[in-house]
Amino acid sequence: MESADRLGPSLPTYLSWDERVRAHRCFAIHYRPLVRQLTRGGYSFQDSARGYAELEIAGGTPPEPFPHQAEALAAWRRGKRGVVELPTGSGKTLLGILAIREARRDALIVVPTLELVAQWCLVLERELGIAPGAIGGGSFEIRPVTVCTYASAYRHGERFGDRFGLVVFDECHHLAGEGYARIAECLIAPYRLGISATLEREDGRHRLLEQLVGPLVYRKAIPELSGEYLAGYRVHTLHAELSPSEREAYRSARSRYLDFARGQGIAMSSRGDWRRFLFAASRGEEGRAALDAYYEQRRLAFSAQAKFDVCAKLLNRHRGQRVLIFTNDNATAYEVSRRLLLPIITHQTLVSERRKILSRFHDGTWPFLVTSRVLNEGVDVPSAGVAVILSGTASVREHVQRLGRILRKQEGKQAVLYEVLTRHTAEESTSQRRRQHDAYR
Amino acid sequence: MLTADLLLYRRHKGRVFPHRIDPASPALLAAAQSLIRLFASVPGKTRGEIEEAASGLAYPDVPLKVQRGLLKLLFDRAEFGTEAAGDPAAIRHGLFDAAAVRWREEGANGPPSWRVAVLNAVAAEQGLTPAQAEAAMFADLPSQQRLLKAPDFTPGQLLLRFNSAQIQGLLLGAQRVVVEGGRQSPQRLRQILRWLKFFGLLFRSATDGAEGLRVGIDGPLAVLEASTRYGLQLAEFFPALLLWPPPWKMRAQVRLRSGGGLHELLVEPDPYLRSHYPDRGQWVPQSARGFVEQVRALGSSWQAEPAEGVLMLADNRYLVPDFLFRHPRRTQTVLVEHLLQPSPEILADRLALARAVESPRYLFACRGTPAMREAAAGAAVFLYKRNLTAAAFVDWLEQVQE
Repeated sequence: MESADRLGPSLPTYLSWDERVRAHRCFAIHYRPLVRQLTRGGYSFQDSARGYAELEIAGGTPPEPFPHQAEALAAWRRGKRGVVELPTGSGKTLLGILAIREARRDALIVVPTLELVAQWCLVLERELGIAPGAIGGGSFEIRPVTVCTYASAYRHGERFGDRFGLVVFDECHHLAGEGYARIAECLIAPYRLGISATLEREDGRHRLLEQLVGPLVYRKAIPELSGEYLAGYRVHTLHAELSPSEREAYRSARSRYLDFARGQGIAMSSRGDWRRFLFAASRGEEGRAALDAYYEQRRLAFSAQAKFDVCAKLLNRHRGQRVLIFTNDNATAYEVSRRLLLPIITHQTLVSERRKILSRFHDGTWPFLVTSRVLNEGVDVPSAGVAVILSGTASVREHVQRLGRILRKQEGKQAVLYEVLTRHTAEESTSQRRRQHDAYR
Repeated sequence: MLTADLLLYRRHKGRVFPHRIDPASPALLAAAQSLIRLFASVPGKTRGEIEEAASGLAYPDVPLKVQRGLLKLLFDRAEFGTEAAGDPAAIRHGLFDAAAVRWREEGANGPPSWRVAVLNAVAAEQGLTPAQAEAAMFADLPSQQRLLKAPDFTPGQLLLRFNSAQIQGLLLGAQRVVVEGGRQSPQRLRQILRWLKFFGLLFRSATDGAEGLRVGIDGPLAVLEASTRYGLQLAEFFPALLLWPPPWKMRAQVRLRSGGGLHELLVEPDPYLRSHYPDRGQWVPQSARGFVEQVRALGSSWQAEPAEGVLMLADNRYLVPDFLFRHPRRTQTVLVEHLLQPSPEILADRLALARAVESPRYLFACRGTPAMREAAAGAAVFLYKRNLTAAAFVDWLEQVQE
């Protein structure tokens, strides 16, 4: 950086001297404050970091935003950095398009899945009249507007960190993870927009987004948009009973696990307690047995035999509709698929097969689809109107994202979410915890 | 390689102390032996079955993280493949197609009564029995793949590998590494320098009379591009360092996943650390041997062979040639050093050293970008873009030696 030495005592702390290139260095994320400081200080400098240009948009008039989208855009426009929290199906992608039109800079969109890469590419072509580049799943094509997965941005971000003036982080709560935070650091983009349906992370790291993307500038919850901009919805809780042998096995496993925990003075009432339990369990054979017992009682509650029958009855009731079936773990998902001969998508499903399954789900050839967690967020399945949650964690985010899969507005659509719980098991309290959200009140 | 969640270390006053396990501990050896046994028969269990069996194993006195780390090293070393009658994807898609029709037309208010009929029909279409079709339905999933090649570790080797993998995992977050090599023989000096080059590390080295060799290596946090791949290269270099006879020291500044800024990692020769790389002394990489073969196959007047030793120069500097070229008719001899994408400064430094070599002539083959032409201009540098090919190099050699 030319003349940085002249900054003297005002040298920003994020700069460090690199003897090898005989210049000051900083992370790409500091490009904007650095340029601002040099400009405001009246320094003459040569900017050879910037590798992006003004974006020419050939497409016609911008789409008319809904009121909540217009308000979110206005809030973001003030600093052209910030995070917006909007429910799934409320038009987050369109907000990203409006931000690209507003910023008029080469833009990178970072998304969690390959399905979303394809989905964003279609919308960009339709709304902006440009052919976007794509990075991920074997593609590596950089264009003025490019869509990239978080995984690819993590691996290759340093190769194109200078190429974009705007970055849109879709489902930006992923960015706050330990590894992915690096993506934001290696991009110079001065303009940044983060969008998410469920910003808050249980580990609290969502607070990092302020530094990586910008402050939370706008937020709207599901109940505020339900009916007018999102499909109306109902939530039903159904119960399945353990069989006598399952009940006995459940009681036995649960008391083995809890007796050990209590014996260690662990109440099992907080996240800290869980860590203490794991630590205690790792120190001997008795502990290992207690840990096994914990998994056994959880497995019995999550995949009680009666749940498969309840699931079949629900599918029977909703024949002719598109139904998504969610489980907490892959083993249960594959068990549902085997018993009911239903297509399935898990993290083990290859991209090509995943596309085929989703395509057949969309066109109604395979109207029922089983998944564990990979479809929790991001994938647009507008035709899905029914979700069956056979099992899940206590995570509010996961539960809201699963509800979000069926909320995209369609003419006459009334979405239904079923939560199937095994009666008299810990699953009932897990359900209460994950329902601590406006959407379920 | 161990992932960050499997690293065990202690932090104290700005230093990090990786957890090491005793490779002679009877409890650990027994645990390692029983984990290795999970992979015993080939073709054996599926990946999922091995994972499940391992999760049921418990060893007193072996921390869970150590157990998971040992298992990860075994999985990394094992080979799995699909074994199924028929094409699993075709079978399951056939089942989904047929079942979708049944769901639409008949439905089911519990376990589908038509399931067996669907299975029979699809199995018949695929030329299989219903049992084969059902078994093959998800046989191609990673968790269902069967063990084809067992990891070839003894319990002791596995425990030693765990210790070096802990340090390798920490090096993935290194900013700078300094190796003080003590006074080493020219053969050992050459060996380590070739490893550094083989793994494409950015380093500067110098010898000084009292301390011997000192190598400064950039860590992945300090490089300007491709830092993830570079981190793996640095980690893979570490077992090569373990081949060195003592005394030596490696100091690294590393960033830990648990935060807290940079910490110093100090590693010295230790009976708990042993290289799993073969010690071939003056080892010649396959690529170098291939290049020599290519030159031979050309049938030109030039003969090539891997170079030996180190050229010691003034001020404790040295050069490490890779190839010796001879032209018997002209009685010419040329030493050639192969450089992989050096920075212009490093190339200039090497060229300055080479100018000090009076005889034989010292030349460079250098993979680099067009931007390096300026640094290489007018000097004895054969600049190439992707692969070093014998024909192009010998043509160039012929021109510069005429």
